[in-house]
Amino acid sequence: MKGLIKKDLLVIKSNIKHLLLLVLIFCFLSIDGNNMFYYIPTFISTMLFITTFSYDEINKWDSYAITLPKGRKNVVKAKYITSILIICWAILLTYIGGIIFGELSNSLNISLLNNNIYSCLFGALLIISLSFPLIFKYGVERGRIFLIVIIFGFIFLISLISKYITIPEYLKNIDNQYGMYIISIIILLILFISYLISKKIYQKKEF
Amino acid sequence: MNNAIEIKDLIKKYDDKFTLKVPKLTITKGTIVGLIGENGAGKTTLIKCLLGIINKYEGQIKIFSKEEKEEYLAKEDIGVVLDNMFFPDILKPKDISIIMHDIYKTWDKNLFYNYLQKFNISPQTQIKKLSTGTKKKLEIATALSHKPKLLILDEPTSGLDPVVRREILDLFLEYMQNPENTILLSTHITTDLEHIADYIIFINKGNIILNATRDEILDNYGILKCGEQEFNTIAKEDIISYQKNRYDYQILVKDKKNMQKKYKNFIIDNITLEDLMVLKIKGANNERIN
Amino acid sequence: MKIIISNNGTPFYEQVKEALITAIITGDLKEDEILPSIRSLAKDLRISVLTIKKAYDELEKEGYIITKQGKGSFVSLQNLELIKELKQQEIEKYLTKIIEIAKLYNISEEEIIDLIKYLFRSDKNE
Repeated sequence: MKGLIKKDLLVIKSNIKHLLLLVLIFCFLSIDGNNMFYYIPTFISTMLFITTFSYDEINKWDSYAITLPKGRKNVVKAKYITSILIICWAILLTYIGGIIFGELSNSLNISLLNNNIYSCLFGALLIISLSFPLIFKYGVERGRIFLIVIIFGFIFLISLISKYITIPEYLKNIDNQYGMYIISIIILLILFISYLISKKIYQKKEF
Repeated sequence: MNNAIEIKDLIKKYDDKFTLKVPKLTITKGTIVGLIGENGAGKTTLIKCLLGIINKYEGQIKIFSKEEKEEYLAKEDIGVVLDNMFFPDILKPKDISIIMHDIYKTWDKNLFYNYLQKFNISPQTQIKKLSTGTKKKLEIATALSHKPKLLILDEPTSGLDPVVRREILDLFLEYMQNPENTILLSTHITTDLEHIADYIIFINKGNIILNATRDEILDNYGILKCGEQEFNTIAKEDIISYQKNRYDYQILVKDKKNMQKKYKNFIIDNITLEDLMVLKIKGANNERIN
Repeated sequence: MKIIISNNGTPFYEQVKEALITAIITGDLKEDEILPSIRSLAKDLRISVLTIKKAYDELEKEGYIITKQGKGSFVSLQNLELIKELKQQEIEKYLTKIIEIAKLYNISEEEIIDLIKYLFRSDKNE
């Protein structure tokens, strides 16, 4: 399985350079406090893991991967792990970038930064959980469409909620440890269930 | 454990009228087995079933006496070359070695790089920049570099020029110097098999219609060629299958030597696998041999 | 040792057999000398292993070689002596028939001997 993770990371190696450029552009655009900057990790991670699925599909990698030892079992596991690694990396960079730019522009607000970073992390993990089973079942092209629907649906939902429902204080301020734990556990549970579903789908798939 | 592969009562149904049926198939260790048949006859389906790419079927498949549930163990010893299914092509050969090192316990990096050198493949070139022939050689090098006991190859020489094909066949012959090794390869290029295959399996429309040693087939079968009038003098039971051409009839016969004695003045030519395929598939009066 | 496989229609195993017998009779392969392994011969001639095995099995049955498990196949000249004897007997039979015909048509012993000498020589020239 380590091998499969390395494979995906090697595949996106070249893409990372392009995306880093994009990140830098976004960073500049958001120095004046524009919060767009904070959704970049989610955006990058999504693009990168879609890329890995895409390349797999074009090269019919899945058929070949199944012939490797522990093929079916490891493909799904590796995809989830790789994607989580990508998210963590992207978030870490954004966090550091956020601190640096915040310091440089004297507009650093740690708790705001933390809030945004956590919501990105959870958002990204949620996107993985919802989209991976769909991608494994229906392939990348359709999976991409589902993904867009999910993301926009998500954004729509959130704006709806913030408009019409008052959120209790402890949820709004995720910096609060208690709220953090609850949300983390829920997200991890959703992720785990998604993994189990994906595993089952892939186990049954024929190529 | 003398058998590399054992198949019993395998049935795979596809909705659109195609069913693969293999009641019994055994592949002995230490042999080269060639799988021939038209496109769509079932060669690739059979291979996919063996490798678990297709896993919804009836019947039992054992590789090295290990059944499907223990497939993970058997796969360490299987080297695979499929038709256009390989690593993402933006990767490079050196990436392949890095990845495979963590996948196969017996991955031999030096062996892999030796093959790369032998085939003139630069470890730094992206797979997509390689020619068809070179890419195939890379796939074969990859399959061989974890020292598998069984090679399962789907059209390993298709799209390759004769010189490269010969190189690759020699590679397989070298691999077979170890009597523990076995090769199962499917191909259209029947001339490759005529020399090196020990057994030939002929699949047509999802059924195995011939499974015999190369000698049994090529030394035994023949093509009797004659004109229309003479055709009517040939005993029906001697005709396995025939093809009517504009100027002659070509008849597939068995037991060449005796046939030649029986039909003294007729021309009975030696058969090639290609002739056999064509006559069996397109000829009239087909019978199941075996 | 020379082994030539031709596409003349003779089964490959027969050709291999003939080539090996020739090698043994002409002394290219000496008594007790080890034959190439079945697999390496198959590889070098680019023929199926089973074909070579068939040739070796028949050679053993006919007494030209002995196979020792795990060690290989060796030329066995003892049986070659026996074969030579049998072949000589065969030649004797043919010669007896030839002499019968010669006597019947009044062809002299000298003429027959000259004919034999001529044929042996033309064989060598080829």
